[in-house]
Amino acid sequence: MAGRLDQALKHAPLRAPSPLFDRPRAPRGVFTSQTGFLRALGGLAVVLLLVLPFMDASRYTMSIATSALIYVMLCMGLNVVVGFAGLLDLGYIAFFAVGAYVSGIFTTVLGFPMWLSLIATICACIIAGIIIGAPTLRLRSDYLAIVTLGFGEIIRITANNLDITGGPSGIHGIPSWEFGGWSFDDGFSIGGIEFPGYVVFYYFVALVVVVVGVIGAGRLGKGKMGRAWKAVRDDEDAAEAMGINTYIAKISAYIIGAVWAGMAGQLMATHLSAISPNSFQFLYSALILMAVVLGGMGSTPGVIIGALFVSLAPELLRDFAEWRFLIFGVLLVVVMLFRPAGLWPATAVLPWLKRQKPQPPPFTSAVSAVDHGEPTVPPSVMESVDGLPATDAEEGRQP
Amino acid sequence: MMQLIWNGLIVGSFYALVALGYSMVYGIIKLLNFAHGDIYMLGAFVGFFTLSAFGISNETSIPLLLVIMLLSMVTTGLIGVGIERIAYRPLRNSPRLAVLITAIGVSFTLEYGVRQLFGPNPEAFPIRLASTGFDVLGMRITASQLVLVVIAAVLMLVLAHIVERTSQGRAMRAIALDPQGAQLMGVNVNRVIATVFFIGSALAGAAGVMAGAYYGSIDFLMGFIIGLKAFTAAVIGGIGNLYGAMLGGLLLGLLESFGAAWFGGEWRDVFSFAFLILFLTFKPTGLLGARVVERM
Amino acid sequence: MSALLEVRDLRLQFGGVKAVDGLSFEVRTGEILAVIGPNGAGKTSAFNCISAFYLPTSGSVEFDGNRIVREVPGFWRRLGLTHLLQSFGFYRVLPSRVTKWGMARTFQNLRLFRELSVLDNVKTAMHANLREGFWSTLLHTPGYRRAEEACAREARGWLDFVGFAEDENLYVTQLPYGEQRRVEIARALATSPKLLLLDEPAAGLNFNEKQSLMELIRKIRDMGVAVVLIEHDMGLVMELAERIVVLNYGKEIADGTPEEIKNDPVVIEAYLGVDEDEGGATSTARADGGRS
Repeated sequence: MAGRLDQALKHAPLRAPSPLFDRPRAPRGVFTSQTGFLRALGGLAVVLLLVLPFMDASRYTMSIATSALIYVMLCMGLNVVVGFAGLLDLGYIAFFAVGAYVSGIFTTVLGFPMWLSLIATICACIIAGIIIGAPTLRLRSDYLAIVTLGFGEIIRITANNLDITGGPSGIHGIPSWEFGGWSFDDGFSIGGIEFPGYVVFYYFVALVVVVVGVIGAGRLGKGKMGRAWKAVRDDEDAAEAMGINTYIAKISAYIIGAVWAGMAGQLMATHLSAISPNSFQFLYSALILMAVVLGGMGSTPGVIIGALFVSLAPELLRDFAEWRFLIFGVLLVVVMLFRPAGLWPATAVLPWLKRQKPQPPPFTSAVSAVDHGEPTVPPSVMESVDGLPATDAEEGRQP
Repeated sequence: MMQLIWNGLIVGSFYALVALGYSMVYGIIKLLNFAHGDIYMLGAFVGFFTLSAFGISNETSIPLLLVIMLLSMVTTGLIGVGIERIAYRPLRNSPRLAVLITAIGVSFTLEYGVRQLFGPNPEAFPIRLASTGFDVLGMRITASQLVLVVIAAVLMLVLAHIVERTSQGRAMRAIALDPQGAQLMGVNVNRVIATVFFIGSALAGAAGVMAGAYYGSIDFLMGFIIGLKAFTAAVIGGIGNLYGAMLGGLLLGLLESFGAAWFGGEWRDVFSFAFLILFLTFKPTGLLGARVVERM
Repeated sequence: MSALLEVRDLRLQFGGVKAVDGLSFEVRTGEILAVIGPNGAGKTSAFNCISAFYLPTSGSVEFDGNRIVREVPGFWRRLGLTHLLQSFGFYRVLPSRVTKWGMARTFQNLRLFRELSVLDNVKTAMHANLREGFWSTLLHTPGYRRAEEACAREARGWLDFVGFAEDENLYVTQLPYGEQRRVEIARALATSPKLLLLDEPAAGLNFNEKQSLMELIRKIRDMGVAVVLIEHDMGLVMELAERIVVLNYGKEIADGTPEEIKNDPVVIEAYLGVDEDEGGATSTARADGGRS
């Protein structure tokens, strides 16, 4: 057992002594553990979303649901960049634009099938992430924000001015997914319920992609790279001192974010079958950022809630639509002032789990020897402490 | 050629006025005041509102412009101080990300608040300076342009005087260098920061009124692009450095004027943002900024 | 015995201030070396140069056969591109690289990852030794699970080793100061170092905590790890260190065993000083201390 575990680590000159005692395994039940509960919640949500088209398959509902899912995908991607890695990206919509335009150009102008354009989209987003990230990720966070904003505007203006992107009117008639001779547009029926492919099917595709996207982003956030991202967010110098190449950590977060946004862009391009530069204004970058901040930076459930709120609120509350940007702006300030971790903070513990006291570790001799060791030196030695007070620690870093 | 330079200087002086506020605020509390461009927009709308309230339209008088500008400056200055008090001061010791996001929230609040008040469509600014002009050295200079440049120059000189010669200015420079040290030396840090916000916002408000009078139309999103441009100008000059902001503003105006002539007007913004990125990548300290050793 | 770390004629200048001014010393495998000196003597700056956080103006640092300070070729230097090239990562060694070579450090002001749990803080330090790829993380392959389990086991081993006695799932901000110090040492150890740099590990600790810290440092030394510490607590230094290097004004003024240092007139003068001298030394120390 220990040998196999050791192989999972690279050779290192120094190994930790074995833990002094075995910790009890964390509980795994639905109501007894945080992960269990969240998994159950996620599963329930997926089931509900799967059932939704059977309840109401109107074009309007499906359209709203699909765009909400696309928002969730975008927010999960931005959450990797802002929430995990702590890089403020104000031009995030640019990657969405790259995804949408690349898939649009590949299918309409170059005539490739959709699945091939998916690969092209992902490659293009990786390249875009590197191009935008490589020169700018060395910058301090606030400079980075403005530079990404500039990049976002550059991409939008470029799309607006080039011929291949269709100029201000954009690209129309983006085809849907096709397999052999059968296309999504044909639709199909199960058990007497007719599924008009052009709407409902994108919903299912979007659902699958988004579920994979949410789970994938969550898993990446918990692994080695995710820890590196969070370390960079919390303290870049300390992360570097821990052997993390902060530049690589940042650029990988950036690329992951770009790919997520690109896939969302492709979903949107096929969903609407038309794209135009107006869909990629700064406003939308800010909206996605708001969703992430309101929900809770770095918190998967929070970000999903934020995304649903930002995308569904204007649809459900018609009066709200008029006022929404003002309200979002005020909310953003209020949340940062009074609840900076968001509605569902990343560090949140379910209220009924909070009361459970962590089991204290068994009292072992080794711990006690270090912890409550008898002074081996007479106090008189310690009194000869040099007079210079060691107050540097309290002075703290300058902001 | 000379015409391009002149046009560049006009636009550049707007950029410089807005960039000054950016640079001052950044220099003193290292906050990138994202809402600064919207203060510029507010300045224009305060002027618009006042003039409309008195039923004035299609006016060409320069003294009236000056009066309105002063009023606007005071109003936007106070708004700037209020924003600092409500949104930024409680977060002064928070992570940079938090303050920056708050600034974006403030920016949105201002933009869409104005949109709710005045509607989404552009409004015609009631003062429109005469465009009678004369030719000098092959460039056409209108009287209004001359007035605007003179006003901008006077405002910048006054600012330079305040920062260089008064005790308030000395306190500002002290806080920029070492806020804790300044506080220990008895500088009222909150008060000085409020002053900086007042001055910076007032300058942006003045620029807003001037822009309204110069371009003739105003809308609630007019501050977004100019905020970005002003930041670019501040970075080119060296953020935190006042003369840098002025120089950067004028330089960016010239660059844009030539860039638009060479590449076509539709690429103008791409051209200036590309400059921003190049500068931040290769010379993040700008032209006049000192190299800061990153201490840990 | 050959030297593990060799610092030769290290110089670091901030503008006109010579923070480190010609420092040379070496550390041998498995010894405890203390670097002492009045506040502002350049100890932390020297640490930062050695761990590659600062780029020294001149001098050489060699660690375990690796050169930590790289020279920028004269051609680029004459063009004034030194800073630009180094900021792009050319002609310099990144601190993460140095850590991978086997040098770990702690910070003067505790710098734990505030929004990570104690266990994750220590796990983070094992970044370079963990076999986990993108796809295995995404798919949760058996290899990934094994790596995570091994990582957690190792991290718990280090937490137990330093005598951490609280819940490992707490956030570090919820811990008392002394426990945070322990976690920081556990985190540094988890990078599996050959050399451990401790920057004022005893600052803010009470008497008992200092005692257990000394015991811990000896235990670390016994594992074959060389320890270099900056410390103001003379009692602790005199008892713990096998060799002491004394700095003042960025210069090395003495190097020897605790006995030799205790009786060195130069050291005594530097610390107690002539009256007018001391005032100056403390005031510069204050001015510097706030910024470091």
